[in-house]
Amino acid sequence: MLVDFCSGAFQPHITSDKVACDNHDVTNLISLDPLRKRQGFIAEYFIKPPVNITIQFPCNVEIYQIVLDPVVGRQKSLGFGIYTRSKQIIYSSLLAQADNSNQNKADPCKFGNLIKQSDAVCDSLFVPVGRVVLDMPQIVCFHNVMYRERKPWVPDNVPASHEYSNTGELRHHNLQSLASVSHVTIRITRTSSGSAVALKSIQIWGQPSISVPTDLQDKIYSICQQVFDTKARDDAISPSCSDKGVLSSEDRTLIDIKTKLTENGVEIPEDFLDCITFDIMSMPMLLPCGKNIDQSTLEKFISNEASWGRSPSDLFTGVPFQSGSQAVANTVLRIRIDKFLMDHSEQLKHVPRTVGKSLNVKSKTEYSSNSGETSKLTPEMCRLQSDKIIASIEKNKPTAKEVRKRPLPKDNHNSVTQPSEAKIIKSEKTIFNKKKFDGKVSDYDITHDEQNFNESEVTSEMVHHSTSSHRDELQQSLDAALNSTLGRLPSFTSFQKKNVPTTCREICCECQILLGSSSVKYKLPCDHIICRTCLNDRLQTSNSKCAVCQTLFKSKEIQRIFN
Amino acid sequence: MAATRRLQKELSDIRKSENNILKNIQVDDSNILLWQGLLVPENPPYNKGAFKIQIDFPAEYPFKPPKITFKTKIYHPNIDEKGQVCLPIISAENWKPATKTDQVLQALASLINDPEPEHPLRADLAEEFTKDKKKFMKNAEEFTKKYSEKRPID
Repeated sequence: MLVDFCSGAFQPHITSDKVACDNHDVTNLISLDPLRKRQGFIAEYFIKPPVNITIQFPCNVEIYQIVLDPVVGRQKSLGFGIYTRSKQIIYSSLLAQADNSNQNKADPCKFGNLIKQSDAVCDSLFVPVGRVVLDMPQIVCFHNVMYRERKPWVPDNVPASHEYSNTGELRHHNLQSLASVSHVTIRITRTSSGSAVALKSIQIWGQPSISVPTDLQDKIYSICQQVFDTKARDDAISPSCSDKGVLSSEDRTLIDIKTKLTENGVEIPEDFLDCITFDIMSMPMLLPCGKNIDQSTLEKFISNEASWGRSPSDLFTGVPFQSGSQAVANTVLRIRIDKFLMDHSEQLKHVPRTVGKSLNVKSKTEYSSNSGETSKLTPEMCRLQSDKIIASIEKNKPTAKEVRKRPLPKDNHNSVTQPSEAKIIKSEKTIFNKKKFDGKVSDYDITHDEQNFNESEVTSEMVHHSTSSHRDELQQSLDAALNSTLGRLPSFTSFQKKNVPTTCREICCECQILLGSSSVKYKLPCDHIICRTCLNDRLQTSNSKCAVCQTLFKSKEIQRIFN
Repeated sequence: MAATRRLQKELSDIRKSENNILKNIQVDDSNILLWQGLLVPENPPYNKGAFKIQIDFPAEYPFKPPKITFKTKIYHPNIDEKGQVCLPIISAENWKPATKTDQVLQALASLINDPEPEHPLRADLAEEFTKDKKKFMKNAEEFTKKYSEKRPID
């Protein structure tokens, strides 16, 4: 059995020549507390390699192998150098003390005392015995090629060096430098880029050197056995222990969940709550201190502070906001909150939110009844409204008929085929042309009436689909609202397009010549097209009548048409 | 109401916590803005009795500070005859929305345990406290015996 002389059981003395950052002190490496041991050693971020970690053993040691774990979290060391010092430790005082002290034969504290006493004798120097530079930050094993094993110190409890992916050799021309070591210095010479100097663990396996008195060797062996036994026992117990630990932590989380804020059976994650009001946030703002509060809370606080003549500051630390440190919108959190609210929209109806269409939106539109009747959405509302519209259409029927009588393009067309009606229409047309403005208005009326019909259709459809999903209802209502708004705008383009059939545009109504884009065209008040020559003829002969419909026209009523 | 959620949370936190400064906290279900409880000071001369206090939270809480009044008469330089307390932490000017009721109660407890005669509400008691402490202690003890409530048994 080999001994890990870096184990806390042997009370080695460990120092580092550089400052360690908090909770990552170099003594963690030899700590018996597994929590501390796991923390490892990390030098302060501003420390650059090399960093020397020196371990002083309680007795001279023949080293078998040194195992280093260079990764602590994200901090990785890459280059290592091993130095040893072979100072002869005087054991007489130790033995005397050990015999005198008490019956507790395996009292490791004695070694600690011993170190201080034996420190006086000191002349030898550190010598380099091995070094390695790693490509990948992985566990590295330095193996002593000159190790001579003695009973009972056989390497049966240590994995062989070839089991490690990274290995180094320990050798020195002076045998004493590895066979009778009092101090080991591990020099960390390189780190991965941007990383602080770090070391997770050190194991220095070996046997007491041959110069160590046999009774001390026995003592070490018994300690070693004890450590091994307790370790074995721990290993045996640890599964159940860890299970228990897991369970208890689970219980704890369960309790936490129970005490968490719930709303209509929905548990709200704590991150989503305003740290001040404990309401769910709709627009989280991240403060310089790292806490999130809702924008409304922040605004209220800032206005309160302003009333005392104070500038806006962090609610928690009281540090005034500056250009570099102020509250910023936490959009990532907002997205998470929005998602959460969307997912639980049924249970969290009353919670305000910024996205999603659902019951909330509906209730809002209901409140805003003055924003337009068409935006009312409930089926009952739709029914009521459609009834109303139908009634109004019924009432307006005569007017609608009147409107139909007005010169619509269809009538023009009809007049071509039905010359008997031409006279009446002609008279009406002149009126229409004289009152152009009225024409616009009538156009508006027509579209508006059409709109009413559209609306009634939409609403009746809505009534039919009242059982369909809210999304459809919303879509329909939006369409209807859009139609009603845009429909009120008079559209001249469509009127003109309908008025003049494209075929009529191209052909002169008198000489029936196809008029190209280059030829000069005129439009008569009856909307028929005439070419320049024919028009000139007509005006000169004072036969100012349309050749097709016989409508009288005046020279000022003729318009030139440009393609 | 903005105050409700926060007060519910604070109340449950205070009830859960182990070192209760305020015992027997009573809150009306219909009005969470009004808390009542018993303050049990540790230091003499008040450590023989319990003092009923009332905390009024404004509707704007936590943007406005709560008010604390003593419902039990107390012989204390910082608490006047009406039961009003002068506590800097809950003055309108110093109030921070991040301050929790638990912290306010801690401040109150320390004020009761160690009176501050430098900022008195009752100048006569403050003078007595500074000039003749023995007399003050005697008076306060008698006063406590006479008026204070019975201490709740833990």
